[in-house]
Parts: sequence; structure tokens; C-alpha cells
Amino acid sequence: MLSVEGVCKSFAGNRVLHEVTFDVRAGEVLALVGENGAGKSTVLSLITGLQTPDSGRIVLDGEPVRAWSPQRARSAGIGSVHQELSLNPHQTVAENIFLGAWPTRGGLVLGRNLAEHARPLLERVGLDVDPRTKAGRLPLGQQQLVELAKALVSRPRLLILDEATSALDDDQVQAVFRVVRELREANSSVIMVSHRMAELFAMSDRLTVLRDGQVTATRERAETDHDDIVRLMIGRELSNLFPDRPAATEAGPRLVARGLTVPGACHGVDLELAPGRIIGLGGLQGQGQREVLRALGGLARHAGTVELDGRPCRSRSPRDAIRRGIAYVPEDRKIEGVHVAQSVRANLALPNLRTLAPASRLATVARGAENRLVDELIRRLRVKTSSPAQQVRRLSGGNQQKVALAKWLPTRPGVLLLAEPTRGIDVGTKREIYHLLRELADGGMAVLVTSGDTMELVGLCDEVAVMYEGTVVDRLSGPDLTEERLVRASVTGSVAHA
Amino acid sequence: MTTASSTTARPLAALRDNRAAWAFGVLAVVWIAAILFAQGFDSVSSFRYLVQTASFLGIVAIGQTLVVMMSGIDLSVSGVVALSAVVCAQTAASHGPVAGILVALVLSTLVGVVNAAGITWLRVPPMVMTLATGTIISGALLVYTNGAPKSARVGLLDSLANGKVAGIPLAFVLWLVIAAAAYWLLHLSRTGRYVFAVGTSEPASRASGVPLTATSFTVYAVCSLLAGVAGLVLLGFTGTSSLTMGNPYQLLSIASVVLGGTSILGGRGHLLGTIAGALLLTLITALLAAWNLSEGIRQVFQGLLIILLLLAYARERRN
Repeated sequence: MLSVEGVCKSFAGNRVLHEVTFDVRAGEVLALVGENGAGKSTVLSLITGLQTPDSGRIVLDGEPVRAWSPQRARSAGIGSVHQELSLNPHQTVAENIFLGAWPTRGGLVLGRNLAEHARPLLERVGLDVDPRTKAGRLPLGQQQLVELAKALVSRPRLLILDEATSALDDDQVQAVFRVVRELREANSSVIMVSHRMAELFAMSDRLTVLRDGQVTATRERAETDHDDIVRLMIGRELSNLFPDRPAATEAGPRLVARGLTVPGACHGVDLELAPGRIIGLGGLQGQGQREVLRALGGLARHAGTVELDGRPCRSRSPRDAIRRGIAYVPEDRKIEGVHVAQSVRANLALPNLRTLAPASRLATVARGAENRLVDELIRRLRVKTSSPAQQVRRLSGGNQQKVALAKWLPTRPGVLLLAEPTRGIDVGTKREIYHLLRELADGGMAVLVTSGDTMELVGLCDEVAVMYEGTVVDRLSGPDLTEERLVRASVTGSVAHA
Repeated sequence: MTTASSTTARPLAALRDNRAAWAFGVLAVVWIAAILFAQGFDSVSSFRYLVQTASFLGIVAIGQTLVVMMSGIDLSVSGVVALSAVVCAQTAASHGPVAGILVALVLSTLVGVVNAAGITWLRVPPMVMTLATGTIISGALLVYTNGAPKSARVGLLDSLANGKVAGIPLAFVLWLVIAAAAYWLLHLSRTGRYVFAVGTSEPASRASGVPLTATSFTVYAVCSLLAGVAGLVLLGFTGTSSLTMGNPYQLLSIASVVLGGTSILGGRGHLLGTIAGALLLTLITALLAAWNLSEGIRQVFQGLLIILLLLAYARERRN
């Protein structure tokens, strides 16, 4: 149905794609896999007309496409859903779904019926919300489903799902799968990109693997397995994804929260963070995990008591928290985590300006010390960047996350809070981050992590507190910390007795 | 990666992307064209007069650069220019020149503090807040002077505005000194880094522990202070104060910043570009005046030229 033939693409001298060739058949689900920076997003942007290839061509229904643009791609029946949301938060769900494709009669928008038209689409994606709600009010996962509904409006023959399930819980993922199956039965095609390998194996007919901008192989699903694909992706065996846990230490807690409450999000949360330990906050998406971290990081108003090293501490702003040695790596990487429009250097230096220009705010920033600090961090975390002057926007998601984390390290925080530290990141970088977090904990940091990825929490954390409707319902550690028990507690909201 | 070709290509590419350098390039071209094709631009005295008059706009524009870099805007500068001149003239008449200057500068700075307070604490959008304070100042001045502001010869200001050192107008020297100080504040100091960070992304800056309030107060106060300084120099230059003397500087200062290559969205640009921007706008004004056009036609041309120049090199990039 669509084939990509010998496509090359470079950005500013960096070769991103080299002789990439693959095809999607009618009625097929093709998984496109590869580490971050392997070129998946670039290939997709060529198909959707956002970029044009330097050489090679894209053939649709046997005809090479000419003067390709997002507009033309859409009218040719190519729809797409991305990890990054494109909804207008101030418009209603229905308005967002029909944006640019309003049902009209005689040139007039049928605004009154918009909600009615939206309902069947929402039903199709398994979303039970009032189409008149403002899109910005919905939790992230539901917004992503609205994106899917929006993509379905134009009845696509080829649907591209680019990390479209990254913010979804299991039920929501099933709803997406249902749509994919329907499309396949209607002889339409789907290209899926996801870092959740299990999803790809559950849904795809074939898998095309990209590495460093080249296709390493295309495999029928029946003829391959997880290990085979990972080997093709990274070109080596991926051993010990998770670091070993050290024997339990007897250190007293560094940070103790009692009855932590953020109105409307979480209530009565008790937590103890100790040096050397990685604590996880699990549960279904949107059970208040995020707000617990934001409260501790000084970004959310909260009630309850928080003690740091035995002394009461109430962080009213991130500045307060940082001064006390509490660093927060936010969930929303591109908005809060890093300054995407600034250089890697400026990003890494920002929280450390106090030490680079110690005298006063008017003191000159020491360039030499700044460059040394930045080079050291880039080397230590192996940030892939062409130079420290590179805009963070141009880095892959995994490298952006490394920057978001690295910038805090020179401030030597005693408590490190991370929200979804590996969302949308390739498996190689995930492994690096897991090992780094363990290394930091071993060095005496108290670490708190939220994650929607059960395997990650079980593999990485010493203890996981499971949240349900804003409060902690179960704590799992040692032999009790298994995926099964974690999922059961998350879903039922009660202590899972073995 | 071909390192050989990229090292040779980079300096040129860097220059092409440097919009502040473009501003100086365009300034040079227009200036040479003016000398070649227009009457009266080839003498040293015309050069002197040009940089002297550009200084008034330039001093205001430097303050404006700081604010715009933080993705703010200050529409009260016209009011502050008038405030400073009128109050100084009034006070100098009764309490002497030094008191006049001090009171004018303190009052000007206070306006910036009020702007920052409204913007950071009450969360009023900068455009609305500064427009409102500017309007309040104009009204208050009208009441204060009964509509008849005094003229005053303040010796100190007279020599500052009209004096020369080694043939260079003192006002121009003052402008350059201020520019050097602002360069250090914006491009070398810690506060400058904070300004760029806030201008690029406020949420990311907050999460990174940037002192948003302190930075905001510093920048708006400095901007108003500089508008006050410009008002004093103008008072010295004309020997008289008027309620509308600041009006041209409101939009021209913003135009100088943008023509100097600074992004109106904040976070990107260079202070030195604003110097070229202010000189360029003053030169254009002088050129249009030299062609004996009527005031109306002149304004039309000035507006068109600003748009043209902006399209030529200072357009906002798509992301």
C-alpha cells in the first residue's frame, strides 16, 4: 500500500536516515522499532509530509508521491497520533476532534451538533467523557485517546501511532488495540511505534527494526521473539537491564512525609525516604503520584508535615526545595524539565549558577568552570550531542531526559524526585538511567520515582508504595514486590494479600 | 562526520544566523547609501548630531531589551521619560538641580518596581500592566503641572546632553557606558542567565529554581530607570519639559530591540544589536526628514520601512 524506497535524510551534516527501505501492506499492522535517535520519528515525518527526503522516494498505491505535504498526506488517507499532544486545551473535546474538519452545511459550521457527531468517535476509542468538556481538563491518557478520535475523523487508510500509548493505562491501551484491529479488518494499515515491546508483539504482523538510521531487518512476528528484536535494535545483547539491589541499609530516613495532602489530588500520604534507597510510587495513571512529587518539590501547595533530617520543612517554591537539597525531575520533560530552546550548556549550568557565580546575582558567571562542569556532565551521562552549544530541542528524547537529570547532579541533592523518568525512551537509555539512579542511591541519595511501567518499578525500586484515588493503599518490598501484586493492588485499590 | 568541512562552514553559518550582526550590516549599508545619495549626511557634524539624537532613543531601548529578553514588554517608558523630565524641571526650579535629578530617577525606578509588582504578584500581563502605569503617569503629570510643565535650564544636564569629549557628544558616551553596563548584566552576570532562561520558558525556569520575582523586579526597575535617564538627557537637550515628550519612544524603543535582532518572544538576541537598531531607526527618521516629506507621509514611510527591515532579517522563526 505504501512503501519507503531508499530514503536518505540529513540534518546539518548529521546523517539521520540512510537508504531506508520498507513497506506497509494493506490490512497489515507494521511495528517500527529502534532505539531513540534510530530515525523512527524522521521516517514518520517523511511519510506524513512534515519533511522531504534528500533522496529516495515514498510510493503510495504504486505512485511516487509528489509535492508531499501534511495537507496532502491527510487527504490521501494518512492519519497520525503522536506522543506529543496537539490538542488545544481551551477548546472542548468535540471542537478538538473536528478541528479543521468541522461538519458543515452550506459552508456553515454545525456547531450545535458537534458534540453529537463526536460521541460515536469517542465511543469507538472507549472514552466515556462529555464531548463538551475542555480538553485541557482531561488527564493525559484521556487526551491521548481524544487525539486518536481526532485522527479517525478523516477515516484513514493508514494510521500512524507514534508512542500513542505511552500515557495510557491498560484499559485504555486495550481500547487503542480494538481500534487497530477494526482498521485491520477493514483492510486499512497501521504503523506502530512504541517502546513497550509487549504491545508490539501483541498487535503487529511484521516488525521493521531501525538502527542508526538504517533498516537492520524486517521480521514476521511469528518468526521472531523479544530477544531477537532487542539484539537487532542495539546490535548487542542487553544484559542486566536493572542494576542489582544492595543489601538493605540501616540508615535512618532523610525525608519523612506525614499526611501529605494536595487538595483535589492526594490526601493523607505517608512516605519515608532514606539515603541509599529507591522508593517507587505505583498505581494506575493519575492516582495522585504526580502531585506527591510536586508537593515535595515545592510546585504544589500542600498540607501535612514534611521533615527533612528531623527538621520540619515546607517547600513553598522549587527554590525552597532546591536550597534544602531536594531536586525534582518533572514528568513534562519539554515544558518543565528542560529549556528546549536553549543550549545543552545553558540547561546544565542553570541550577548551578549559584556555584558558578557565587558572590551575588550580579557576579560574572565563570566561563571556564562552566565549560568544565558541562563537559564533565555530558561525559558522565554520555549525552549524545554534537556540541554543548546544541539546542536541547534537537536531542532525542532519551538525551533530553539525561540533560533534565544531569543538571541537578552538581547541586548534590540529598533527595531526588523523578516523575516518569524513562517515558518514551529507548531501552538502551533506560538501562543507563536505571544504573545511574542506583549509583546515585548507593552514593547516599534518597530517590523517589513515579512510573506507569510496572516492570520498571519492580525491577528498579527497593519499595513501592501503591496509590489509589489519591492515597497509598499498599506498600510492597522484598519478595512481595512482584508485578502481579503491584498490578492487583493498583487495580483493586486494596492491600493484596498473597 | 566531515570535521574539515564543518569547521570551515561554521563561522559563516554562525554569522548568518546572528541577527545582531545583520543589524549592524544593514545599518552600515543604509548609512553608506545615505552618505552617497542624500544631502547633508557626509559631514562630521551630521554624524555627531545623529549619534547624539540616537542616544535618547538608544538609552530607552537598552532598558527595553532587558525586558523583552525576559519575554516581557514595557509600554510605560514613554510616560517615564516625560515623568522624569517634568519632575526634574519642577523640582530643580525650587530645590536645585541635584535634588531634581535624584527625585526624577527615584520616581522613575519606582514605576518599574510597581510594574514588576503588578506583573509578578498580581499576575497582570506585562502589556496591560505597563500600559496602565504609563496611562496613570500621563494623567498624574497633567494634574501635577496643571497642563503647563516648566522649562528649566539645568546646567549639569545641559552639558551632559550637548557637551562633547574629544569631539564625541557626551550623550553618546553616556549611551555607550550604559550599554556596557547592560551588556555585563545581560550577557555576563548570573542575573542575565536567569533573564534568558525565563524568556525561553517560564515553567522550566520555575522548576529549575530561577528567582523569577527578583529577576523580574531587577529588569523592570532597570528599564524604568533608564527611561528616566533618557528623560533627563532630553530635558538637558531641549531645555524644556513637556507631557508628550516621551511618546515617540514607546514604540520606537521596541522597534529598536526587534530590528536589533532580539526575538520579541524573548530568550534570544543580543544587547549590542539594539544599538544598531536605535541608530538605524534614527538614521531612517533623519533621512525621511531630509527629503522634505510631510509629517503624515513620513510616518507612513517609517512604518513601512520598519516592516520591510523586519522581514529582511528579523522575522520570527517557525519551530
